[in-house]
Amino acid sequence: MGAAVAEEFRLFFRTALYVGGAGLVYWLVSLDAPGTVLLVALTLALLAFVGMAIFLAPRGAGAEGRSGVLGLLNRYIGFHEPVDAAPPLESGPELVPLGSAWPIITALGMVVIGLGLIFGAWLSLPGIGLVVWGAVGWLTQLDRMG
Amino acid sequence: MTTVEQPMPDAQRRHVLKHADDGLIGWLTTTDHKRIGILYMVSAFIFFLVAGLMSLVMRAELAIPELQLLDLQTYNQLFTMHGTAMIFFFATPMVIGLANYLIPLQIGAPDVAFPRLNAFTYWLFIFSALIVFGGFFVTAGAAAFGWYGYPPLSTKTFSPSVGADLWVVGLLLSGVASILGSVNILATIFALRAPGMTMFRLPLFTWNILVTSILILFSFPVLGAALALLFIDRNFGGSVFTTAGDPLVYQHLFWFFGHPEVYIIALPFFGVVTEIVPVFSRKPLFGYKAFVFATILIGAYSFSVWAHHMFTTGAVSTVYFAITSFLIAIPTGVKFFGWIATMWRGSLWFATPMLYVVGMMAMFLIGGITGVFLASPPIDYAVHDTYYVVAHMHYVLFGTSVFAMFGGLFYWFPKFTGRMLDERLGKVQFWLLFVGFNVTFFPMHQLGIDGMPRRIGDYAAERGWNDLNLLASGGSVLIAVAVLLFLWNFWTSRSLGLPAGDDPWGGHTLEWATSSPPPHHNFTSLPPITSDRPLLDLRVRGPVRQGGEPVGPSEDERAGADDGGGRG
Ligand code: HEM
Ligand SMILES: [Cu+2]
Repeated sequence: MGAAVAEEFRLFFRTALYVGGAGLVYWLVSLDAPGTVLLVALTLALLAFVGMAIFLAPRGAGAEGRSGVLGLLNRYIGFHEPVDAAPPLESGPELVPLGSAWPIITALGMVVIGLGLIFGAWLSLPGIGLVVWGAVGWLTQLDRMG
Repeated sequence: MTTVEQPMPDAQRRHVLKHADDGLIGWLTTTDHKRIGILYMVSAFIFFLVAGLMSLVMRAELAIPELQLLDLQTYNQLFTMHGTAMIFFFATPMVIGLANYLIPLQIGAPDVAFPRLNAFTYWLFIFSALIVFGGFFVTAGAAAFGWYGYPPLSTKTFSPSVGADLWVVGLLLSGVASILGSVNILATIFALRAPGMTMFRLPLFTWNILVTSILILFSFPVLGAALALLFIDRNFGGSVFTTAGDPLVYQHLFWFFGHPEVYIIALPFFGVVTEIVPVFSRKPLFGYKAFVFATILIGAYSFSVWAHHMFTTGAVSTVYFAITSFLIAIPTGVKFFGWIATMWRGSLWFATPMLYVVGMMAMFLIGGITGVFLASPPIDYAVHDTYYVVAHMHYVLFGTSVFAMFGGLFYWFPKFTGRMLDERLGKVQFWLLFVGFNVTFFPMHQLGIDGMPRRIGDYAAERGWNDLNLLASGGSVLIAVAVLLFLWNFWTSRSLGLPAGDDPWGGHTLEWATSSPPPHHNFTSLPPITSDRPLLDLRVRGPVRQGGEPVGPSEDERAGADDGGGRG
């Protein structure tokens, strides 16, 4: 059997199990559509995270545990964590500038777009301009700094 | 301190291209998580002062019967903006600020996963808060429909002011900021932990923030949907919540966000308490995994209780929501027992952080108990929308976001600045706050039982509510004095406080293993991490446990430590 699923993902899986169950009971008890839709949507969103485990969690890092249903349960919702488990998502060395003006410019742009929704579309135009300017600057900042 | 050094792994050392600038430009363009954390905390505190000022004006109006200071519409604006600002622009960003500063330090990382996104998130939050407050400067005034903005009151027909639109758009944008912030925090915790820092060695503040981030990630989009639809109804001829649709759907959407939001505020402060209690009991925490499990459970449960805010609509299953709401008391109780068991037979040290934390426990306990009452539909039917609810929510919200916040600020201020806050002023402040808070809010339980509705600026003298209202307003003055005292303490201690050193309290977690304030990339070296309390391990048994050891101490060892024998 494979290694336990990383705790980072089991966390979401356990929550999905609870919310899914709560959704089922809710439907049976109340037949209320809006609430059931919300709980089902939340269950699916949480499961999407667990789906990432299939692709990202470290594999075969020492086979352990039982096989069969119990083993499966243990791997997906158990609380055991391998000694010195490495984070399942590796971060490489990344070039990060200590300062950047682009975030504040982009944020300002978004807010101006928002105000445009209230005070007239004309105001959204400079907002879009700021966001585009900010985003381009943001994405190319590291290149320009060498 | 005698640390056995573990060099920073190269994969985590980031390259710095430009150097920090202390001027205005430096702060406007900073991507350093510590500076952004400070910006968040200072801004949140300013919004706390603003929203607090609004509440003082409300209490002044309510001190005696009839109207003196305000007209009813202004009163409506004040409670709406007070509630909105306290929740969205004080408590939530205060949490994000603490997380920003502390998470990378607690997990041994040089910064957050996406430093520029972090800056973006902060600025978006500030701008959206300013938009919402902008409502006060338009002719028809700010939003005045309560902090949850129920239609039909919040539709154009009944709330025509542009201030209402500013409220909707501002909250929508600040929701985007919160979501992006939570993604950043999750990525940081998942990807940037130092070697040895497994999930079950994360400090509990970090665990609480982790679950909080998950709550933000899955609940704010629902608020966003509700607000966007409301905006369409208001401005683009929609009728989702009116003629073609159903105002109840808005209530479902809002509270599907709104109840988790209560835990978005509470959990991080539970985390603060869980950090402080063992340090000031001079013992390891009792039941680490039980705390983790309780945190996860509270998070999961908080998604299934939303309609306990909607009992009196008569359109929701009272049984379902009463039972799920009662369930939350169980993991919350686990935490309370864990705190008490940690203090049990410890050598308690009542320095300011511990004082505030014990205050928080007492206040949250009262709020939790009235919460269980309110989750019982027959009681809720009787006191819904009365001052009983105002009392309950302030015991819960003020208990966590103000008492535990001050605990956290007194605890970590030395780390942030390298100087101690004044202990004596801090203690005077605590007692003022404690007495002031209870004098203000405890009488409100009785006012609610006597039938005083919430959200009224005016009441008749014959109703018999006069004395308790006067008392409550008096108490709020004490709260204000306590807060002013803190401002004075903060201002003077920044430059004149006693030097703190790296670790003034004898902390257990990694943030105390670096200088105060920490250097640019946080650590020059890290101690070995073999449990959830690396610094305590180091003090207690010296640098013996390197690499390849079991996850934390074995169960027996932990049991031994837990009953106070152990290594403590
Ligand atoms: C600083 C001391 C505080 C005082 C004196 C105070 C006082 C008040 C008053 C007078 C009201 C209006 C009651 C009504 O007319 O129905 C109110 C409502 C409210 N307060 Fe506070 N409050 C304080 C702190 C806080 C804090 C720290 C929070 C949250 C973190 C908070 C959250 C709220 C909320 C959500 C409402 C409901 C608003 C609404 O009805 O839409 N308050 N408070
Ligand atoms: Cu609730």
